[in-house]
Amino acid sequence: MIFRIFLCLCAALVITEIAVHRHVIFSWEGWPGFYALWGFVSLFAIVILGKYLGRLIRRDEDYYDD
Amino acid sequence: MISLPPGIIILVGALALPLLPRSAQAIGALALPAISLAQLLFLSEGVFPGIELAGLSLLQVRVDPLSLAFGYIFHIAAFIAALYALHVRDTVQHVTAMLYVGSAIGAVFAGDLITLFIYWEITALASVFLIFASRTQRAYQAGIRYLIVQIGSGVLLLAGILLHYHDSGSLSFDQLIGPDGNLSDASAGVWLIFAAFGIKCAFPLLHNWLQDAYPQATVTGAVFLSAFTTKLAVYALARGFPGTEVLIGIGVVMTLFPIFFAVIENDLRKVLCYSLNNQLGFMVVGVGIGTELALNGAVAHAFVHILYKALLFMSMGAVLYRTGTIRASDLGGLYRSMPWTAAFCIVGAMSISAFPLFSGFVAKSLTMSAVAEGYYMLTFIGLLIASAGVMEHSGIKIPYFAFFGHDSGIRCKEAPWHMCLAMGAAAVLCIAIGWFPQPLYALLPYPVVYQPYADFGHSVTQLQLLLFAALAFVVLKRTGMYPAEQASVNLDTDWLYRRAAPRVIRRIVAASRQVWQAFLWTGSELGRTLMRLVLNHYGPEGTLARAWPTGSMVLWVAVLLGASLILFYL
Repeated sequence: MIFRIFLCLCAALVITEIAVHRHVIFSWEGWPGFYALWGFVSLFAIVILGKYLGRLIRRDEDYYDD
Repeated sequence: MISLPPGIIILVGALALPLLPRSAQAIGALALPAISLAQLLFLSEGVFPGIELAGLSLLQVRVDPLSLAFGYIFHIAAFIAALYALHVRDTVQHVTAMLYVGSAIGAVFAGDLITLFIYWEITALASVFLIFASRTQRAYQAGIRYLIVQIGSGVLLLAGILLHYHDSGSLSFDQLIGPDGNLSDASAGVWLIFAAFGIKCAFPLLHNWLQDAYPQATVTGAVFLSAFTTKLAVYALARGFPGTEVLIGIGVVMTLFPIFFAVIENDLRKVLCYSLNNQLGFMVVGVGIGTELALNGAVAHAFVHILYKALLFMSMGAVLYRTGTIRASDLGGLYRSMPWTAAFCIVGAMSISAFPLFSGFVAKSLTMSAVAEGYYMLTFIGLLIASAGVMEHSGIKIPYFAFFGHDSGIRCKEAPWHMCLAMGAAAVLCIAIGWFPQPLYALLPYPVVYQPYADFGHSVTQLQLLLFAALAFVVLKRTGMYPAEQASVNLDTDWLYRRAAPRVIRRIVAASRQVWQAFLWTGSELGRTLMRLVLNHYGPEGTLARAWPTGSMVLWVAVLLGASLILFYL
């Protein structure tokens, strides 16, 4: 239920974007849905990359204690 | 009273705190920032001479918009943190916390570099006791490492100041970098000062003292630590190195790399440290661009950041105080027990993520528009990724894993009233600044024409960025792709000096011990051989010590005489 409301909110934001005037400096900023997609992809990529980083650097909690 | 240098009241007051009965020390510590702030409000702008020493004017005080902005927020942060620490009955913590606060304020108003150095070192020496005060072995060791790094920064600073004085003949703390902002043209002294500031500002690869030490501090100590040391470094950079181009690159890297570490970190206060590092990056970018808008952005960011970062540290501190743990893997579902703390934490999380109508938004927008107006496209893209990263670790991870997520089954009391009051005050400021940014803008060093809510599209796109990032989190969680929290420690650059360096040194020691032993063995063998030779000739059994019979002597004399007789006749 909460998830659906959240999805509707996201969809509403993308629709609102069309209605409002936007001040853009870089042309790609003005592409419809750019920020939405950018936010989604960035967080997705950060978590996945972080996961792989974790495989490299994760150690037991008492690693430094001996 | 008005002519006193700012910070002195707190420093002297801190030393007088032990005279109070133990139960009144916390109230005394709360009163000090309030009295000092009252004094600050009456200060007029300008440079005030200090004491003359060997022809140099030392302990100069400079009051200008830049130092005032930091001065105000340092006082507010000190007051809130002292309120949060009202339950503490530990003289050491109260005294050192106030010495730390007073010296940080003194440093911000330092007009000359020697004064800056003195306060710089007092902040290091005083603050380490907030880590030691945990009184655990881990905290003690982390504190020692912290102290070595901080004192190292001070030594670099002093060396830099002396070289700079030798080159330029000036000790005043003004812009140190040339007008072209090119660090490679600067003198060695300026380089050393830059490095000293860089250590305290947690530049990439110099950063790890922060994540190493702060999570070991006491519940209340971490709140103090989060506010002062690194922001003093941001102030020092804004004063000495505005427009230094290399800072832009350094800042972008600072915003990006900690977010990956924050994803996998289990200690939630350490997550906040990585987040702190990432936030410093935004300020460093602002200082690096160096336009009026960008410097305003950096100062505004530092101002609001101190509030919401302290708020987040307070909420995690309250969780640690009540539950005894801060591991994400052990926590969850605490909103049932600590609803107020959860609500304050969410305000802090939304502020740091820069939701419109929260304080982070009105400050970060200044820096972002300065970046865009300067057409720093790669920087802009980097900061957009970093913004999604902030949303991940501070916006979602901190509140979600502590207060929501899977129910840990922990049932505890709500945080004490004074902690709730301190968190509430910070939360109200975060929201108030978000709604009414003008009073904050009025404090900034340069006039602000920027209006964050004039462009409604900017608010919409910012909300899109944040909510779709949150959507990605939900998707990752639902599909089980989000890495599970587990009790662990993650390697960072501290591995170099906690593991690699000791190993190398141990090997070098072992190898040199072997060489030394081989040397000793060779020496003793040589000596033994020599002694054997000597003994062979001179020893009791030696050739020269043999007792010869008189008969053989007579025989030899006869031989010699005979030989000389023969020689005589030849």
